[in-house]
Amino acid sequence: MEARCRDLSLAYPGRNGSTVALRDVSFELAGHEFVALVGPSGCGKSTLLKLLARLLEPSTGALEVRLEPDPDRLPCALVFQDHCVFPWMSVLENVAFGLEFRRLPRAERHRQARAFIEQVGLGEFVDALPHELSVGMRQRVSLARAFVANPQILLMDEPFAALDALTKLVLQEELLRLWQRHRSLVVYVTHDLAEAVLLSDRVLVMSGRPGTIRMQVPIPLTRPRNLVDRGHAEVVEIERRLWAALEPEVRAGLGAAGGER
Amino acid sequence: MTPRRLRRLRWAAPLVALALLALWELAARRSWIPTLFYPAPTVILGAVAQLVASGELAQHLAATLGRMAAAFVWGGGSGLVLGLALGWWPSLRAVVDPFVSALHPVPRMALLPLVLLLFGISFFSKTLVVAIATFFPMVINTMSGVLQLDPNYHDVARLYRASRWRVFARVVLPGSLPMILTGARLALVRALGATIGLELITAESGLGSLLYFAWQTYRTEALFATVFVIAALGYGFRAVLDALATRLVPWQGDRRQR
Repeated sequence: MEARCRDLSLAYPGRNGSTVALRDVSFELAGHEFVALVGPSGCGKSTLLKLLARLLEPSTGALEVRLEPDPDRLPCALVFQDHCVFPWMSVLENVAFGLEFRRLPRAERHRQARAFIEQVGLGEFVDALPHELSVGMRQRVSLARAFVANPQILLMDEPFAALDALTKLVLQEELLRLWQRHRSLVVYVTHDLAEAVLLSDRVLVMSGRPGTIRMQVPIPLTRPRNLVDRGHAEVVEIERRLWAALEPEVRAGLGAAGGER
Repeated sequence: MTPRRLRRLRWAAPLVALALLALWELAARRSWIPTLFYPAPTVILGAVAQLVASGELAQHLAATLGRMAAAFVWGGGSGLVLGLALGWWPSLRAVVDPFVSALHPVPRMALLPLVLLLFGISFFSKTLVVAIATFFPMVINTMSGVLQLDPNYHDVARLYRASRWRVFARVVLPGSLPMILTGARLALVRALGATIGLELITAESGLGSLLYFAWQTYRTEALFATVFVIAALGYGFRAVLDALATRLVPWQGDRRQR
């Protein structure tokens, strides 16, 4: 599978004319890459994910997504930071919802969902409602729902940002394990530079609003990765380069009126 | 305030009520207040007992509840269906919503003479007025319930390619249930108010007519007794709906999810 974005721009109509969220974004994704997307707040990272998911249409530019013709794989799944699992569905129903696209009988959906719930360690909680779970457990439900669909492209919007550092570490490992087994193309939005470096094959650095791709940094670290080793010289070196590109953008964003959106 | 202290305060409201009733009783017995207008609580309680014993209360209560139920089913039911439809189809909303907004502020009682003129004093005309009273809170709350659903849920449903019907049945309907229950709660209060008001005017049967006759014959103890029964009824409805809400939307009210 591959995705090719050429000169993508997106403008939202607003009260005082339109706001340009993205301008001339160009990049390519291919194969089973794990790509991290970093950038200052409000630079349009989430918007870019929604474009890739075809939830939004670009104002100008071309977006080509070529997928394998496999009806058993979902074209594209999305995991958000929050408000992602349905609070009125049990863990089992939430995960089984990931198979909606296959129009399978209920029993079969539930059977497959159970297997993935086991994989993310929530076997005891199949019948629990999300509000009875911790935030970390809810994100596991969200991960299981995405992977049960075996998506060709998996888009993640700061999925673990609300978690404590230790839970985050466990879920990052689970994510990498699932990704390696299921071979999806992952685009992972984060604010955490070390996380971007440790998880991905390539980091895309975005500029402030209107967002555009400023820099692409390949991550030469071998896999499997040691996620605890944030202080490793190689990791720190790449982080420095990313920060050097990002810092002026972040400062400009802080200085500009409005700042955070 | 800590939850424990709040729990202890649960008893505060009933205690205050008891204290006020005791004070009232004392004031009435010592004739500090004119008992013709403010009969002692025990006398009112006696009036309630009498209403129960004579079977009058059961008869009028049944009349009031019957009217309310019929009106709630028709008015609330159509409000629910229309609210869901308005939330689901933007084009329908664009056409119909202005009418709902324009008609909503018309006082229900203002319609009464017209309805009575058109349909006479009948079960139908009374049901219609009360049904209109329940229709608006239901349609407005249901529609906003559908519209306030987090857009992430719609995105998830779309990406997983759920069919339109499944999106409605599994996402939109359960997602708007909390607001639908709020609508039902308001609709019941409105229905009770409108029914009593209607019975007060038409004075045939029901708790409202009981009020009317007690008023006309200066039986203040019966007047107070009926008011207490109506208040208890309103409280009962709320308790039932609260119980229903904890069953149907257990995820609501839990801070962690929001």
